[in-house]
Amino acid sequence: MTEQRVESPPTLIAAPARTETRRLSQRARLLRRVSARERTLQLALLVVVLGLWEWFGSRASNFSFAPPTRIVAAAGDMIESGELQSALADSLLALMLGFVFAAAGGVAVGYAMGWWRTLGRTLDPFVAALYVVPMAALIPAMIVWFGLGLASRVIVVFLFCVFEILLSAYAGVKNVDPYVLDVARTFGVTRADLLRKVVFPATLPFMFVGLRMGASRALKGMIVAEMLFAVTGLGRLIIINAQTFRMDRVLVAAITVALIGVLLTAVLQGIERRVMRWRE
Amino acid sequence: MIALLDLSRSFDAGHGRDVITTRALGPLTLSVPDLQFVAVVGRSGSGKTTLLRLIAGLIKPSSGDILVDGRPVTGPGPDRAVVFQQSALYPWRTVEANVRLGLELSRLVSRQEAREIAGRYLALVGLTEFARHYPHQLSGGMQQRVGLARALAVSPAHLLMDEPFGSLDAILRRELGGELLRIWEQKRRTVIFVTHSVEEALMLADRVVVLRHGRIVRDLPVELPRPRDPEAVVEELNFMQLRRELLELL
Repeated sequence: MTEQRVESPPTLIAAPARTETRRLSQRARLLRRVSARERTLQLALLVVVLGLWEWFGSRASNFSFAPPTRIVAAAGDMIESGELQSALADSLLALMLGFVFAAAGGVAVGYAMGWWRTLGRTLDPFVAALYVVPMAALIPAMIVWFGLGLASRVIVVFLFCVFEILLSAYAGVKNVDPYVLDVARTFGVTRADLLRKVVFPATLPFMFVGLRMGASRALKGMIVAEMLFAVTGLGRLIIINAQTFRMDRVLVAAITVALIGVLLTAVLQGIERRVMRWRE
Repeated sequence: MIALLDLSRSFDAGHGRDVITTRALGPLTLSVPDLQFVAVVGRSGSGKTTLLRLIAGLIKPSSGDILVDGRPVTGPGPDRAVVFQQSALYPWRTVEANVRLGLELSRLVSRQEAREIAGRYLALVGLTEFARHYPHQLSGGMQQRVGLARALAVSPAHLLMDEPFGSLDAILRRELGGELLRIWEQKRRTVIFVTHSVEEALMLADRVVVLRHGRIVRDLPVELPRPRDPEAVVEELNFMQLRRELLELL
């Protein structure tokens, strides 16, 4: 690299482009969000679906179906007795542990595979093979190896989602726009800066896609483990209530599982928006 | 000075059991004195981008040498800044942070100084008010101006430009060409400007090098007065003669 002196640029010669700054009030910003036509339609759709459900549900037998009002009542009972909360806490613990380990491990290994070409090419076929294995098929083996406790459930959650996350991170590093790398190289970038200031931000969109898809698979892993072998948490609530034909209680548990998924995705999207402000 | 000695570059492509080697460039010899503005023109596939990437140090020659200020090129460096065809801005950085990028990555100056310098170069390309915008919020022409400011901010001795205005419409192209000329008049440096447009080459350069199939087929001085007015220069008799001559070569 040549020795360089940074010189001062010549004076302004180009006509500056004009901008105008306006600040939106809190109220205006809120209105923008809420008053969208789509929101109204979504609300209407929800009301119609719930109405039809109520109408059919109240005509069907109690053993096979439950209308929303009975589900709400059942939810009230289950919250009062505390069984819903303790099942939820139990499920969430396995889900979060498995997902967090998978996110950390998947991202780390995915990046390493993308960064060190030899490592990536070596591991690629193995990861690809593991990715297509239906993890549910391994559950009997999990039981033998790790028992029926929390460890086993965490491992099932982990295995359900780790490859999704890993492959997204790997693909992200491999697919960084070559121009983006060229620009950094022309400025004589160091390896550390290349990773920190170029590759990492460039791969964020891929990473978040992986995390969001991983989250939904983690949830599947959680419920599969709870219903197939551990019989605990929300999965247990579904099984025991189905055995006694308490459809309202089954649906309370099932809806809770769905809500976890929706919430987890929303949280991830919130982080994504925050980290990638530049996309809006 | 930039000196290319018997430079050539080939690319290999696998075709079943055969490896087909295509010579994209050379062998060619070319010497560019300091502060000269050289335009390299050629049709697509003539090797002009390969030539630029070799000088930038982004690719290595198959044979021959590249000397920049007497030293052989071993890789890229901020003494040879590149303005790319696509502006290649970083979408996650604001306009100001994009201009600052080269100073930051090459660690030439402190963070504080980098901010000041970036501010001055943003003013130079007339985008001060867009400092906090993100690239996707700018028009194509503005993005290219940011790319130019980013390259200039590291005060490179040599500026390598790879069809920087190739994706813009004709009017904007001429406008940015004029802007580039004004900047160059004030801060002279060696410029190697790759383009497929003969008019653009003649409007900007001191010298036009014509590439065909990777070889130099013509090396021609452009004797047009400076400073040049991009609107007026195209009307000159000399310009029209040179243009005819070059178009026949392409």
